[in-house]
Amino acid sequence: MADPFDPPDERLVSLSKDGSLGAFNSLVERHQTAVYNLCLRLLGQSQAAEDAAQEAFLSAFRALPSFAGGSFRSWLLRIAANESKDELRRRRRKDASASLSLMYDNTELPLEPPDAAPGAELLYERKEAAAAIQHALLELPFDQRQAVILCDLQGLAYDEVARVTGSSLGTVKSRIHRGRGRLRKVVLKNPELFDVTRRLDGGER
Amino acid sequence: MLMAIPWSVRPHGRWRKQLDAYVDGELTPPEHARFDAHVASCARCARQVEDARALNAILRSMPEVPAPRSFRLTPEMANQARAASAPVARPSRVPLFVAQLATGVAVAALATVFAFDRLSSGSSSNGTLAAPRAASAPQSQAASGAAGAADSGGTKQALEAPSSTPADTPTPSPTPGVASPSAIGVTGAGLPSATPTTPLSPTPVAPATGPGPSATGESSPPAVPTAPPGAGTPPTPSPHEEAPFGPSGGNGSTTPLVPGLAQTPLAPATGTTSSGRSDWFVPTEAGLAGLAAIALITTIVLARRRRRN
Repeated sequence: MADPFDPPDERLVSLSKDGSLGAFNSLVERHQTAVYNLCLRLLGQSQAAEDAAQEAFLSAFRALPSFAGGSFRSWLLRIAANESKDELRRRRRKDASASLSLMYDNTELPLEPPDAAPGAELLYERKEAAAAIQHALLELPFDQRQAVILCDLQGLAYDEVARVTGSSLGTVKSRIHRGRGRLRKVVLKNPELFDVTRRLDGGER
Repeated sequence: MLMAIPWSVRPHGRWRKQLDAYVDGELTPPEHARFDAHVASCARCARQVEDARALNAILRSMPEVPAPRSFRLTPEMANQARAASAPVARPSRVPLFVAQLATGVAVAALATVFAFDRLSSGSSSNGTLAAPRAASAPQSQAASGAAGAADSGGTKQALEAPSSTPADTPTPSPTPGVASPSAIGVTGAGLPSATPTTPLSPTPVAPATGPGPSATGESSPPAVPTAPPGAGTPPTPSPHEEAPFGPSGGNGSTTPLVPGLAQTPLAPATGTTSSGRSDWFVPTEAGLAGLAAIALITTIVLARRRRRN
């Protein structure tokens, strides 16, 4: 197990470029959680996220010869984001009442990992809070959602977010600012879900 | 305390805008220091910073969901992807081919329109000439001995014109225009556009047009008034030069000519031809420009698509 994870991405990429499927699959395993989570948060539906993630890895495999270097992870996340966008468009087209069904699914989405971790009440609280956040995220415009997810959920720096989204630093800044502004409102509207907000609420007064 | 007053009075939009970048540590060091100083003195902004930090904490605490399954590619998937990537490569070639084809078609269309333009301008000028000149035609045509043959019927000329025009039209315009005294004013305008045509048949053609009745279709009406050598000049430039020619030539003698075709044989001919043709030239030129634009856009769009692939 240690072996495939030791070499840096660059090494695995060059091996993959030479035709090693094993090397590529090592990259897949290394990044699949990040890719899947990005898709999941962007789409709000686990099945859609699964499809998008698989498509993303296939596209990455296909496009590998054109990978020019730099951060493989950023490149991969960019592909995943594009795949998610496509998937979203596809699903919207499929069902006329897309937005409605999407919202229904959303509310259930964060409960997705039912056996994720044993934590009883704390987990439940977090799930509720996560559900509210996820719901709010899905109401953001795609670009803002993408920026917030990459920055806050995936922990990318602004310049990395810019690289992944193919936009300027200034654009990233304003998208994050606007996206978070809306999320903040949601959090303040549901203070019971977030014990942190109680503190904030008190502070506000 | 003195410092606190301006801070609190100051609109906080600017700070609010920087808030998230500040919390994320994405401000430049000087910006960050300034923000720090502000937060230290502004309770409102300090509260907002707390808010933002709390939200970040909430967002960061969003559980990372483990992948429901492995997304490893099976060898079959890899092969399929490789096979699929071949067609992916193909489309990039197709657009190029299509782009070339589209460009070719557009160029062909341009050429056709251009040819048509010449023909139609020839016939149209004849037609326009014929209508107003119906009465005057006999006089002016009779005057022009050489042209007389072609003049027999204004409409007939139009029919003849097409065959003769392609060869004749370009030739007369350049050489005679420059040489003829009446055209002097015109030469300046005529030269730039005329230049391309001149090389085709400079001197040899020019003489032919003057004497040759065949050329008359276009040139005969104007040729009559001026002179066998110079006569060719005014009409000939029309196919290409009409627009520039019209105004410049008009200054000298054309303006009055239009209405008074019958009155002055020399002047009317040039005036009418130029005015009539320039009217025709606008739409045809617009058409040319439109086609060129379409060709350009098609090429650009396809090139972009290709790049994307």
